[in-house]
Amino acid sequence: MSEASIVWIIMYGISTLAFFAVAAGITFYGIQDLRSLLSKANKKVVERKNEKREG
Amino acid sequence: MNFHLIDWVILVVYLAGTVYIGLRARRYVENMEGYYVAGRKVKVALGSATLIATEIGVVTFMYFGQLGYLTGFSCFILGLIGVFGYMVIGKTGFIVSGLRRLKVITIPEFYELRYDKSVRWLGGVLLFVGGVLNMGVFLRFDGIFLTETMGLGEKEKAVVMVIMLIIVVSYTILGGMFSVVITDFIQFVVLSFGMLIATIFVLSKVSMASIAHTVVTQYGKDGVDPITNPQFGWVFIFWMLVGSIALSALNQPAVSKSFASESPEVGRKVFLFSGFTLAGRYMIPMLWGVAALAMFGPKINSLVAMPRLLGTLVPSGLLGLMVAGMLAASMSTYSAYLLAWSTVATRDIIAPLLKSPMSDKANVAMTRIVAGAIGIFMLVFGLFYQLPSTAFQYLSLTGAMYAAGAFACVTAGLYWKKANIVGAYSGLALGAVAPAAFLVLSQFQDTLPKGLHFLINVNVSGFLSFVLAAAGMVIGSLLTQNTRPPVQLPKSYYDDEAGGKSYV
Repeated sequence: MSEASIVWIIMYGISTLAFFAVAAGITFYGIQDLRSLLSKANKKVVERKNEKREG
Repeated sequence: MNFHLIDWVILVVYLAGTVYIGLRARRYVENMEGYYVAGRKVKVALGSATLIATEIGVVTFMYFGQLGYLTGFSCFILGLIGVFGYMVIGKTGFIVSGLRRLKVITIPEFYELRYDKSVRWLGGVLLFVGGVLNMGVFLRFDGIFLTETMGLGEKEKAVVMVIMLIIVVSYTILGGMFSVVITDFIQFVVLSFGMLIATIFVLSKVSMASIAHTVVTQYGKDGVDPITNPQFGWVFIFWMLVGSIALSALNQPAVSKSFASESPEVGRKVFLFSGFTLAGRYMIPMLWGVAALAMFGPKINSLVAMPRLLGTLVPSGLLGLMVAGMLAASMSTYSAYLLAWSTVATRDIIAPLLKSPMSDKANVAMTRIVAGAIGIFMLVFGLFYQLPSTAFQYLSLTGAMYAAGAFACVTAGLYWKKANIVGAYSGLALGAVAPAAFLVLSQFQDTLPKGLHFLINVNVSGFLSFVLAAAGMVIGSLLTQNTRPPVQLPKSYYDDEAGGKSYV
């Protein structure tokens, strides 16, 4: 195996690990963000329905 | 056929679930801003997931897999260049923070603020044409990928393309950015899992030693050195260094995720976190391509090699999960692209031609119609157009058609007070000339005089587009400062405290 190949394989290893590690983190925190976004959006949907009923 | 009952069940359940969730999101759309930018309420992790999901599709797997198959490890340089582009934007907020602060929905809206309405219209046309040409080949790659991994025949390719199109168009048209963000997140999780499955099976069946040996045997030094590799070289690397920043900051489907973020700071961070994954996003499918070279040798169709490898190595059951992951990647890309280009067509091309302004409802309705029309174009173009270069180079070049001019106009518009309307026109027009010449002339390369052959070198053409656009902006502006004095952005834009004000 040439030195250049070894360098590229190491870079591949680091990049792949970084991808899956960050993806795991984004998944974890993304669920919280998504919940927050949906709860705000749901509140607005309820408000709109109430406004329609009253109006 | 590689696909068995269990794979079909997984796939159908996944697709049905996604469409259901995407359609449910329709009820959250209360106004135009809700439809186009999800009410600008997206936070960092969700924004990063949706940006990454947008930028990973079957099409990216296909062109990176093809590059890996054709160039060995040399193409890994693109992963490093891509990280550079994202890090510049993620650390400094270059372009994206400024645009987010101005609360624009599309990039051409900025042209109207800084130049005038006619620049917005021309910029919108170039953005739309380049973007739709760029997107035109996506469906075809999906068709090839799915028929190869699932073990279907050539005849089923068109059917697969139509089904994919109907699914994505339906929920994107109805739910807008809310649907896109919610389904993108689910798709991000599923596609990451699909990539993990594929990587584990590829690396367990094809050893790294045999991959490295194949690269050296087949390509010699060119397989590990991007400078000597005839596909790349210095011109290509310079083009990509500039292009990685321009295409990252000005690719409307990607940057609209920054526009949807809850603040300019969040918009910047979305790019920073996405940047950490970028080298992996590029190199993972590239290695699948190199592994396909080790497995099948150099004589099969370079586009088909990587999906055939995955279809051969991944066992039934997991294959269904992996294909669901790949489809997830595609659907998130399509939905974001469809929404972005139909928004540009409606707001920047059609609306300025009308005598009276369009209502919010009419805006959204027109966007839906255009999204449907783009879908039909993708199907026809995907079935009949023959690529003049590698898939990656074609996509980079059509990207350069709009990004080169846009990069000159937006960068100068935000950071150079002398930028004026003449510079903007020159930058936009000259940025599109070289890529357009390549796309047309490459269809007649046998009859082209030798002196003009540099125009059909894809790397020269791509690099030239950025040089010409920048020259057009600088020379055009400097020569006409007195006759066409520059229009400045609202003074309060330069004051950070004014970040929350909308100028549109």
